Amino acid sequence: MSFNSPVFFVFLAIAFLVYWRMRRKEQNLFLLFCSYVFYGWWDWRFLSLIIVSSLTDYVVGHKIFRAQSPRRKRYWLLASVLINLSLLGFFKYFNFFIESFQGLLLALGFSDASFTTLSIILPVGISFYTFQTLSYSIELYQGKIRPTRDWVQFFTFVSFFPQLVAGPIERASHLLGQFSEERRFKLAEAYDGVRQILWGLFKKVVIADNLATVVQQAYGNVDTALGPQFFAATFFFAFQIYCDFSGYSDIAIGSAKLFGIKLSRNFNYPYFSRNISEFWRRWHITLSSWFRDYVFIPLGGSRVARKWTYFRNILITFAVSGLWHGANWTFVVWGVLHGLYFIPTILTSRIYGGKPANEDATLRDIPKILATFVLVTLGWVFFRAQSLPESVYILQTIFEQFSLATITIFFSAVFIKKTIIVVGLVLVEWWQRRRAHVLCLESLPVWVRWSVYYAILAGLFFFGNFDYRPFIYFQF
Amino acid sequence: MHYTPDIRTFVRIMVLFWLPVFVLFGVTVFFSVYSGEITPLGYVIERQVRNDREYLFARGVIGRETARYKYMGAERASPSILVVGSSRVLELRAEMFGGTGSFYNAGSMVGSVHDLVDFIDTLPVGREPEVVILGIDAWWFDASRFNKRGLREALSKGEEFYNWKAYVYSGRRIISQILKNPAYISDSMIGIDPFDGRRAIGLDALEHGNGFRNDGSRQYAGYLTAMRQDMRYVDREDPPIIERLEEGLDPFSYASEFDDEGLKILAEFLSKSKERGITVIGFAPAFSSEVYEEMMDSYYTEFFSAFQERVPGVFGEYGFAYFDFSDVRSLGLEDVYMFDGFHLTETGTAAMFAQMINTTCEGVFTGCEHMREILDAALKDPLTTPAEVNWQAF
Repeated sequence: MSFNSPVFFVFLAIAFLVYWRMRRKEQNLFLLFCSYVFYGWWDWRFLSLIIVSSLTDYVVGHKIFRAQSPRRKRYWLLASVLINLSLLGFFKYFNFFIESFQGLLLALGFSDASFTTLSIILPVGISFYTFQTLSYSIELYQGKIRPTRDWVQFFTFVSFFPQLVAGPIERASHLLGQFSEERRFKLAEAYDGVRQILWGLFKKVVIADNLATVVQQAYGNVDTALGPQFFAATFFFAFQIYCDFSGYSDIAIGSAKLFGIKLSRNFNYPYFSRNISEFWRRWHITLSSWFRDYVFIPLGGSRVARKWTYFRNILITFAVSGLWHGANWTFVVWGVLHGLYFIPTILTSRIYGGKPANEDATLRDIPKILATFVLVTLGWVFFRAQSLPESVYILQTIFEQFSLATITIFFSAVFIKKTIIVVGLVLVEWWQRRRAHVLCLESLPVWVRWSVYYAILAGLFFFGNFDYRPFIYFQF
Repeated sequence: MHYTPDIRTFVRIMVLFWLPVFVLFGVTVFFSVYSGEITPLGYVIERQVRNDREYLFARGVIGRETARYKYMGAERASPSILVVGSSRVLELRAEMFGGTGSFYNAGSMVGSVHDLVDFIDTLPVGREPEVVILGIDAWWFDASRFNKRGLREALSKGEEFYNWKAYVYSGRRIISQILKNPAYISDSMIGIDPFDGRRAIGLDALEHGNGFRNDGSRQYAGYLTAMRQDMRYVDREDPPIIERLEEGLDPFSYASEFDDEGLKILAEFLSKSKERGITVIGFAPAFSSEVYEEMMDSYYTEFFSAFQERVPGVFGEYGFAYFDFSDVRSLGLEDVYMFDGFHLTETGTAAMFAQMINTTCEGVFTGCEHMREILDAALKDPLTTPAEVNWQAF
């Protein structure tokens, strides 16, 4: 069941009406039931994985908490990490490692190196819920939280349907507690939830899925596409992936609000970042902070004696983060590239350089914003291409085939239409950049607000691309 | 537990907000169904086969489901004469047979030799036609193409009637049309094909007069209107067939290579047809002289010559007749008898059929003399009627 299918909205409406007639304990059980229905809609067999993952961390969590010595605590934490990463490793990376190893042997001259790969289907959302359960064990180990005795609460925390398949990746300290508290329906929150869902759906169906057609035309025909086509496709992909993923997050956060649950913010107008460090504090915030807290800082973080060690820590963190996205070297290179973008910051020792993310960008920041956008967009080539040679070919083609004769594409009706969509998005986001999302319009009169909502619905109806395209991050 | 006042307020506001949206959407759904755009295929076929009045069916927005529609039509009509092939056989009409047997044109149902076998395998025993007139396209034997299994795929999919997207897309089209021209509402309520006055089912039929008639044959209103305005040959396909051939675009390919596997699959179809008592008459539909000449003098020559040489033999093995009308000039016609580079007009098709029954009629069709009279009369002055023949006159 995907957020961009009507069945989800029927499901959401029914779940909402039933949920608010229940008491707290019943509510949790009902949310767990809904979450399993939601997840099982894709493939009920994968429910066993999520149950195993939940059960493991529920049991291990108690073991960590009760362990008398730090050593035993560490053992139990290791058990949790191993079990979770083994599940993830098998379902997501088994073939990748086999093929990479085979490639390495071939490169070393072992011409008869041949291993069998398996036909493994990647369970939807496994990267997300695995990280969420891991954070529970780690936070317990760090003594930040106490384990819950209520298994329903814990299982609901792992599988809460709005954020189950593509985040935001929640920490136990933020989300788990909410399931133990009495939830009270807040009218303003519910309205805001519906607005956020509407805006998320618009970003996905109208912007991302319409841009996807142009992107696919170039990236799906690598042999025949020309440099300017790749240029345009990469530019549009930057906005496609943003609207696709942030649209998903908006629907997730909005849906959770309807159940009285607050999820973490996942995007904060990332393309208005003035440097790469700021970008990562605005893009996929919950994943970035996960890697910061559980990979970068344990490696020593930025508080190290030598700049090289700091640089190494950043590179490792981004490489692992890249690999998290997908079992392909393109993602690793994409991560490493972002790590390399930090070199100027490291050299000038401005670890969190520039203005803090919560300080608004102004028109004077536009050159910095554009420079950051160009760097990020360059990275998207690796993210979108199917292989490393293909990424290199695309970059070469962009730079080599840029001539007056080939840029006629920029005057085509399709390009102009898509550019208008993108410019429109940038303008409304700039206008609303101090708000949690674009449709925070409380200060406007009701008739204006409703007109805007109806205009968005009309946009969805007339310009939406309803040929089902799964959210990009589902594959991760 | 009961809902709190806040929840009740929220639900009330939501209902208030969404009600106009659902009402508007409901209206478009009504129009979509009423116009026939999302009518279930079974219902369309039932009306067409009943033949109590002339219907014209063509959807304008949603997946056209043509292969499925034609398969269901062939099965339901259970005719004694069945036309099978791609869109290139669609101008064979019931009128050409002078009512000498029940007829259905299932053109556009198949797009490969695999589809032929899938068709005969799926057709229920006892519902076989007596005669199948089979139009064969050369590219069915192209190694790079012949694995296409459009019919099987079409039959395995759910009907568009149950697809929510169909309602959105068709609603979008209807509202856009109404905004452009409010009279669209009354036009669609009347539901008459603007070209020939048939009862239109589907937005393409309603708006443009294109579509499938009761006998399954196709009415190309747009092409006919253009021809009546300017009686010259113009390749009206987009992109034109000659351009596709020159540039190796679908259905042509620079990599075209004749594959014997295709012949085996065709033989399987013919063998199964024979076993089930069906007489098959095969033919290669015409190309315009311009396209034919290009085919015989380009990268495509080797492939096409192999097709021309080897396919007739397979029909011969099973004792079935086969005609090669690949060059429109072999019918004594000029390119003006073609809608585009590879679709004959109805008049051109009548001429082709007349030639077919000159050599193969007795023992296959009943009332051969009557058929010949009809065709002769219709083709008496073909140059003056390179578009539709008014069959009602006969």
